[in-house]
Amino acid sequence: MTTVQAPAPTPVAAPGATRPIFDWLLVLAVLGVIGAGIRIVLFTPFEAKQGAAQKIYYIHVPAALSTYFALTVAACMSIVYRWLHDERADRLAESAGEVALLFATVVLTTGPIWGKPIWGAWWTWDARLTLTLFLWFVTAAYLVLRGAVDDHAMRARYSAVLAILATLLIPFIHLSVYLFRTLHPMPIVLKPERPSLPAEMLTTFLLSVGAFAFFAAALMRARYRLALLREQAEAA
Amino acid sequence: MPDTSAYYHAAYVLAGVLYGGYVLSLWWRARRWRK
Amino acid sequence: MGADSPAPALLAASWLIAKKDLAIELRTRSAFLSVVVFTLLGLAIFFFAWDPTAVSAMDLAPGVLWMTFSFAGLLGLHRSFGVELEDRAMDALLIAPVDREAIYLGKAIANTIFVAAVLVIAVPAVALFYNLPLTRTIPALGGIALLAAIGLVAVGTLFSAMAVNTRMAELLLPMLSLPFFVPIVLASAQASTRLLAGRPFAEALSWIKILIAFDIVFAVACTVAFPHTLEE
Repeated sequence: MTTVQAPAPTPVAAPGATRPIFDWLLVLAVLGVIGAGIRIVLFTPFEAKQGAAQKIYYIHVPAALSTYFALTVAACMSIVYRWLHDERADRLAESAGEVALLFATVVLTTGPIWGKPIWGAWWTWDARLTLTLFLWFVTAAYLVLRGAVDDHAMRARYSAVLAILATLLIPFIHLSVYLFRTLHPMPIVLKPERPSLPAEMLTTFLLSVGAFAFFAAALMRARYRLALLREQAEAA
Repeated sequence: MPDTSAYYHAAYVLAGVLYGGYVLSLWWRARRWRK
Repeated sequence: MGADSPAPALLAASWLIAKKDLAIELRTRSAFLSVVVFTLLGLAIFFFAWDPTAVSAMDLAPGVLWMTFSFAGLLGLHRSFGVELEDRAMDALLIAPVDREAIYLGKAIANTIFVAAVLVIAVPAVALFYNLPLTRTIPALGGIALLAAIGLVAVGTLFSAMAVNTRMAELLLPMLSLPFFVPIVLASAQASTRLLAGRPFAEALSWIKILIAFDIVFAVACTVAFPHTLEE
């Protein structure tokens, strides 16, 4: 097969031509988190039985919810990649995975700091803690796997397979660990009936959830742009 | 009310360090790849 | 409607590939012996890490078996696809007129037989080392071990296929596989401690059901996923 035309030259982006990593969205998100923090620290009453440590709840649970959010994005984008073979989906999956690991680390560190004064134990192997720990392991494995494969296509394929299998794993870990007795407090807010937090605390909590979710999304976008930047740097 | 403020402060500082550290790592990696 | 449904051809091809792998292994037997020795060593060393006044043998032994079993399994699995790296044998497999799923199933079957063979030695060894009642221990542990082996091999074979193409294969395989081994090890340990302690079978049953469910879900999922790890 003979080709007469030379292939059109791929436009090489000038250095610095990618969108900035730190832009107004990220600044806004950080301000949102700081705003939530101010409300928590200055304008929310202490809880009688747990004292000051109860306020850890306002950053621990939103971090957990944001972890699930980021992991869902990563898993969905992996499936989208397998289906559409769009590199953008793979890049977003990688970004969401890294952000998920960050938030999971916050969950797993603030949790014990909260647990020690409240339950007297740094760690218990109950259902929710164990599941979160293994989510951390799986996400770390996902990122290590990506780091160990240089070829873009193979990396994306392997990541997608791991992401989907990991999604299948979650119910099994949850189910098997749940059959153990669990010490973790029953969810105060996320129950089907009315939440049991008093109104003021509930508002703070919901605001915090929103602020951290927005922050997670902004971080994912920033990380995505970093991935783009890196690809351009490698291509050059 | 028990005095659990040490835990409270520790958790918030740690969370701040983790989030801040990540944002810093983004900045540092961007610097590395822009060169 | 074709005369042959796809399933017999798939199984036949898988069995062919399994026989090839087993034939290679039978000829050299090196991997089998290494895994057996590793397992026995593991069982023995764990003994020294344990305070017999604190935990009874009957409670400890199953856990020790499952731990050693997991790591020994990883060793054996690593070699499963490692063997194909020689002389680019993998390319020959891919060109061959077999469904790609058959490659996975064949390797998984061969690995299961391999692990079962190791268990034939390891399960009695546990009973002997930890002074457990033989007639109760061997059927209970053996049965559960077989179920655990299926799940372990299903997941481990797939990840071994992936890891072999990466930079840090020996580290990556455990890192990928061990989170998936958790439900297996947990359910196996729970079921076997109950059975060994002579508790009614119904108590162990829910754990055994989890084990079976895991096996089915992941055997299917990994078979379906394997072709996706290969190039189009």
